[in-house]
Amino acid sequence: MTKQKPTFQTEDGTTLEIPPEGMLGLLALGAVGIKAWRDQRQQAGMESHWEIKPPKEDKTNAIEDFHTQGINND
Amino acid sequence: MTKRLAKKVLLIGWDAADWKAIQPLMDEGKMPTLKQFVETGVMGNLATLDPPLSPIMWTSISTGKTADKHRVLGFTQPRPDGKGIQPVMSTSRQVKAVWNILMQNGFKTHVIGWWPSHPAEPLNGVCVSDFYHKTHNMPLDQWQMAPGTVHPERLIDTLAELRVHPQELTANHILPFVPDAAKIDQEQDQRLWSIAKITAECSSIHAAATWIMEHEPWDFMAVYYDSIDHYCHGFMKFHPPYREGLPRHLYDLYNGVVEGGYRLHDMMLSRLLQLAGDDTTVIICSDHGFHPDHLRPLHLPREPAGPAAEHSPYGMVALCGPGIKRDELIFGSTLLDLTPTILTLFGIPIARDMDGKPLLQAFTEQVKPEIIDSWETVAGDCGQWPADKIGDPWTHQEALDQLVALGYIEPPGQDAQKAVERTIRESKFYLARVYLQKNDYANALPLLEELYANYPDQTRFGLRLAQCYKVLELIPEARRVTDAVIATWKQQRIEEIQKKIAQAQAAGKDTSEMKVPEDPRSPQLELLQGNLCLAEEKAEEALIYFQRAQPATPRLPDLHLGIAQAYFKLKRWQDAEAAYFQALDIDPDSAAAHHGLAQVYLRMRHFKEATEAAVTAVGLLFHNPSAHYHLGEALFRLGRFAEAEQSWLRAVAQAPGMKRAHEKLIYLYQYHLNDPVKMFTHQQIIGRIQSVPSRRQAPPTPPSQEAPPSTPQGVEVPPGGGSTPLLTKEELGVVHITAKTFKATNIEVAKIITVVSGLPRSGTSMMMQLLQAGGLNLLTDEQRAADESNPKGYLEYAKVKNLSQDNTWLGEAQGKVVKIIAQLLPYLSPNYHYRIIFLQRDLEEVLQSQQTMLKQLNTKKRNPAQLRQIYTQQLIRLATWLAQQDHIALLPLDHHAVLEQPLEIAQQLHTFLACPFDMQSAITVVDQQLYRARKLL
Repeated sequence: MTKQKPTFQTEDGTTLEIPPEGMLGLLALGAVGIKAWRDQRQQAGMESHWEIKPPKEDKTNAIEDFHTQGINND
Repeated sequence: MTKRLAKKVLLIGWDAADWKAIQPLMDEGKMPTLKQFVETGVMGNLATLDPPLSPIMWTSISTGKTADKHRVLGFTQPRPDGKGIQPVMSTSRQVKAVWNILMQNGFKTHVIGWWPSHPAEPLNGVCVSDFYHKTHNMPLDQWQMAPGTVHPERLIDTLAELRVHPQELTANHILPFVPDAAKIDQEQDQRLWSIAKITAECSSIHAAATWIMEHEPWDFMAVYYDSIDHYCHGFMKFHPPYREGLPRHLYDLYNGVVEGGYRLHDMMLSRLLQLAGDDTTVIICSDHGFHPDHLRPLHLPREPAGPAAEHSPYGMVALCGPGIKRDELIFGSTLLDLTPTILTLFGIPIARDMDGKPLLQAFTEQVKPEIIDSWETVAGDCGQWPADKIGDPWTHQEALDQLVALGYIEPPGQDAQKAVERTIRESKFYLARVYLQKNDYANALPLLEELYANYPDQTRFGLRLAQCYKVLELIPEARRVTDAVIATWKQQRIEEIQKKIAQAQAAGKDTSEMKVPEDPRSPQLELLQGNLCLAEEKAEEALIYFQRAQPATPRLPDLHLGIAQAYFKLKRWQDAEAAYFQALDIDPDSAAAHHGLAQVYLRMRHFKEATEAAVTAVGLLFHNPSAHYHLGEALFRLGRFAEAEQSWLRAVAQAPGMKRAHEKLIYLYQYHLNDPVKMFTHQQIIGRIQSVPSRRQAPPTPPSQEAPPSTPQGVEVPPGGGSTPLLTKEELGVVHITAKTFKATNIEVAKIITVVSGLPRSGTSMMMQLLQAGGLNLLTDEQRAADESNPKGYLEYAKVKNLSQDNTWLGEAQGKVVKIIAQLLPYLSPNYHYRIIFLQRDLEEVLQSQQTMLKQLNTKKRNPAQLRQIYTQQLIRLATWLAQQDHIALLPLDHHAVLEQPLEIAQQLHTFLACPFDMQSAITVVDQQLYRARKLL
């Protein structure tokens, strides 16, 4: 028997499958969207992705805290 | 009670959201939820305050009060132990937030992510602090949630699970922002991580908010998203249209990030509205805007919080739902108005000590809000932290400095000291700017004078000081400071260029083209000189400076404002009008330009046009007393006397010392409105307004019997109240520390630590000697030698001074007596039992003794009146804290009594210590000769 793929419905009634990689729309759904995505990710046997690399020690381009930038500039 | 208009209210904070960025997206159908929201509700600009820094602004939004009252004065504050800095906290806020007032009135409230809100307040609903979503670049497997993040505790695990870490995100989440993300070499460019971090953090907040909405009942909910501000600070420079000078490949990669951020927020809004339901009144607001257009600065100032230069002065506000009009614009709103608006929607009184007004123009029904003096004095459980948790870190730092100077606590390390000093310096500057915006020059001036005297290299301090002098018409002083600022600026530019040349030479580069200018100049400098000439009534000279700046910066709005003012002073009305139009061509939302036009039209006797321009000016920036004054003048000329009265009343409400507005009101009441009582009231006020040279002193205040001015809707405008009340004279020095015993009875006496405590110079050294003579074993190291202040020695243990950082040595003190000053007691480890003998002495005597000691140490003295306040507040908090500690037994002793009745005291000690104690030997120690700082009765 084929296991049914989890889906969610958009406001305009479109039914979308939940991809294990997630999507912005699921984040925008809040708690239910995140839980559904994590469940699907687990079912698919995927761990978190590493496509986006965390900053190295050298934070040349990293934006740590936009507001306090410059606080040590004087 | 005022009629309640809303059943439930949802307040959504979008930091830095700006209609100028949103409008095109709504027009293109890219923000459909918000578009529908504003079409079925109201929308308008929300004037920000100065300084436009988010923690200050969001606290003003949630309290309806300016920062001089709520005391959140920047991003950071000194740590309680003075050994570094920490982010501003929920305990930094000195006044009640709207959620505290609502809880006090029986409404169920939730707060999620508000800035600042850590530790989470004990509300009757859920409180999730602003530490919840921050990842601080922590790897996923090490990402812990800080204690105190979630209230109530039963939800800690549930909500911790909902946090999203950037490492969880995938290409699916990033490609909508950066379609060509695959082309990016992440070793060289880490902006994708920034996008992931911002997106994950706002998803965490949104997940918590939606879960709470689904599972916990509520009447009021506030949720704050910092993400639009973060997308903008990182990527607004790449937002279309392309600007010359920007690397084209970076523009091509990142030009969709800001739009992506707004679209994500629109989607999240859709979910929030769905969960809130139709019976909820929803308010969306931002604390300031963010220039999305040609007004984006090309360079950021090299100063603390320099990125705030990208902020625009208008945030956004939109309201929708029960009680709110449909498809209308509202004008003249400031972020101080939101708390009064929410209270009015719930039918709860607003308070006179709030600085904002309810946005009645947005409501479907006419209501007249009830007004009380203050919510601060209304007792009842409101979910605010108790008084012993709330502290004013700025004043406490003064007391800490005194203790370091007296040698009772360890000074912070050099870096920490520098960070603390810088934080205090910036907070003073921010506070001065708050006062400047409130036209409270008497409070702004001494702060700015102190800052500029201490930091003459900080030209920004000098510029504000000169501005303050100009407004006070102290023109020679403004000239002196401006000249000094210009000289410093030129010297700094020369040194900068010399440094660059030296660096280039060191790198072996050709420096033949690099020259050190003899007289560095900049358009901003010309502008500064021109504005000063205007203040000196030298309009022709001012024009020369402005014209000199024009070729380099023809699109600088301030330049055209300056030119217009110069023409105005020269009575060249048409030229002034044209210059103001040029300023408006660059920035159509310039309240200053509309206000200037109103003045020009008044002189041209075009009163209708003057009215329109002044209405636009106050619509853009409501806290604008001078514009209200000119609006009153235009209305008066049109014969609209009642409206003129309201405008002039608003002018004096915003600037109580505005003599010319009081004079106009007197004239109006005498000759047109026939109201001698009101006329007399304003005559009385004028009598109290000081002449210009004495304006350095306290600002005039309206008499208490004066009826508060009214808005056109007939609602009283609450005048700005004073700052947080200090303790009364009667409250000073009468803090009672109450005796208590251990809760448990089976405590091993040999493991108890006996502590002698009290404020420095309250007789603690004498008590140590007394206990030693009585046969007790002291923990001392004799590192601090006897001196003139303590000829018989201090009997201290050096590690105590660093107790706030290291309490691992406390085991050594078991079965012994150790001296610990009162301020360090909260750092005692709860793993031990303590018997504390707490010496209490008249505060006057303590301070007198401390001052004498500081004199002997040749150290700076501090303001005793301020220290008296601080010590009293510290003792009040300490008394509350001590009463709650089950592992502490307490014996308070009066310093007088120890000297006057030593035998009785020795008996009390014997009973308290419950161990062998030689009372006769002990009392021989009491040396009345040491009682040198006895208060003169």
